[in-house]
Amino acid sequence: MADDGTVFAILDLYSDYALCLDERRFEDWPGFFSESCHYEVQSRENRDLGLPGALIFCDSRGAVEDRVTVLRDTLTYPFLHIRHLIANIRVHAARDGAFETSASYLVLHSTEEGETRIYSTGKYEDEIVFEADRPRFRKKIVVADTFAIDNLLAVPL
Amino acid sequence: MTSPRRTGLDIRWTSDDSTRVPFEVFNDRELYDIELDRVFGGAHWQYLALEREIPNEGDYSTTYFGERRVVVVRGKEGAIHAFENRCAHRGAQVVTRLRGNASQFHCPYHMWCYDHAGRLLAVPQQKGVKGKGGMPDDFEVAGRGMRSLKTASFRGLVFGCFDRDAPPLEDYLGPVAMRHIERITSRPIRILGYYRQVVEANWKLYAENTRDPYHAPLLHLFHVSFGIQTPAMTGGTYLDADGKNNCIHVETDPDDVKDHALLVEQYKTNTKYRPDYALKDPRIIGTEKSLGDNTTTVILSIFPSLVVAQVDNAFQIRHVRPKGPEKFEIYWTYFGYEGGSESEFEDKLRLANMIGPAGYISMEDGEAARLVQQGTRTQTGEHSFIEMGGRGPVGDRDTLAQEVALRGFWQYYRKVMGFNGAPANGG
Repeated sequence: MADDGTVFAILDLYSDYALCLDERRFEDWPGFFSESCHYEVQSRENRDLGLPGALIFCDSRGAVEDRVTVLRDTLTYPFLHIRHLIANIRVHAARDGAFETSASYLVLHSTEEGETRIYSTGKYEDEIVFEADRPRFRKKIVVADTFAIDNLLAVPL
Repeated sequence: MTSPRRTGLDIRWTSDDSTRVPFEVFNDRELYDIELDRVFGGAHWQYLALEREIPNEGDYSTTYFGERRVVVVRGKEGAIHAFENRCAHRGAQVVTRLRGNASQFHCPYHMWCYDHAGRLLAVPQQKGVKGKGGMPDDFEVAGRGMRSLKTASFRGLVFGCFDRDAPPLEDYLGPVAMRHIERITSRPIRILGYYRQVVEANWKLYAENTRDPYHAPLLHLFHVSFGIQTPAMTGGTYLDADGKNNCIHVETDPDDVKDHALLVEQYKTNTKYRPDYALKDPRIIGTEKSLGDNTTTVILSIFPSLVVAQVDNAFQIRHVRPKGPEKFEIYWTYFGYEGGSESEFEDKLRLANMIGPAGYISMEDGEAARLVQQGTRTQTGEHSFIEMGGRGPVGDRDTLAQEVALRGFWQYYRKVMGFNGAPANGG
């Protein structure tokens, strides 16, 4: 099982991940993933029905980086302040050189005029590897309980 | 000077050809309530489900006609029934799960029992208890079911209609819609997933959006950057005779994408065109076409609430569900095809990035509708200006630089709603 240093590094990874998105440092977001990685946002509805269609499906580091490029250069979406709250982080097992983890997330959106609403809640099902002693997501599956998406999903969860 | 605010069917149209649309139609509550009856009721055939979603006897799926809850059920010998989800007793919602399988339906409140067609089978304590109470002697369960709908299928898409005397589904769909549905269902489809996108705008702004080829290469820069659709491509709009159903179509020609000079000209007034743009994982672009032809975009809009679409190589059904005058949900059914290769299936997993609320292309349509709602919600006596592609009678166009099909929609909508007063010319 994971030692304390590993657990702390994993907890830090989640905090840093949340801060990166909340501070809109989208260019840094791909850096949270390993060179070979998979990032996917699933609706709870599809997950429960066993359907494979994802909201976001990135099966390579390049596809993760493309999400950021498109977000920055082509997409029209409203400016919102973002706040990720990530809780109940658990390290479940070490398998194939990766730590399997899970966590709950809550993302709040606040408008430029200061109104806040719950944007999305759900869970992360992740696999974390250490590359050069730094934890990275080899796999990050976001299962959104909030699958009736408020307007659009531009900034990753 | 600001005009006095007109509501409901007194909202004033200032042009016969619907080149002007009064902004009140996007936020007026009285008008919306009339729409729920006249547009989302009556003789309009509306989308219920795909046949393959309810393959076995007792399978059911729920949806909405406007805001009315509707259930579609597979009955005996393959029959498909539909009924309004409201108990004949005191009006409770009877079917409480979104989808499932049931041998009968029981109202949770007093256990009134219904069959697959929504016909009432039994009422608990109908004869009373110990000789007391119960229904009057002349009470009969027959004829007392939930309100049933007429149903019909076309190429695996199930439609329903409240009006038992409505013309046949094929007549309602018309040749334009049938031709495009036939093409998109020319292989057996495989459901890949559902998406839901909730937009704070009037549902008719989405009806406009799906009939508007003008915005596609301007709002959706992903289109242009990767050559899926540019203003140079061939395409246009087909309309049916009364304007209610129509189809935007775009065909690729390899030369269109390469016509750099034309693109530079098209985008000279802004900075959006980025010829240096490249994806690090380009597998989402240029996938092998599932239907083999050179069609790259199909947006088929069927009045009032159905869109059958192809965006690049991603196929979808979008069902629009109004939630009050200033909110609607788009319920997406994303599908591929049975019997394809593993690589076609993997392409479809990646192509999910194009569509739905997180889709590189589709996410922006809701935002466009929301922005119009924000811009128009308090306006009185003002109207939009819809002259791209010309004024006067609506009809087919062989260019994408037009918004004529919007006027087809409004023409039919106005007929259905029956606004008071003759429209003034000009405006």
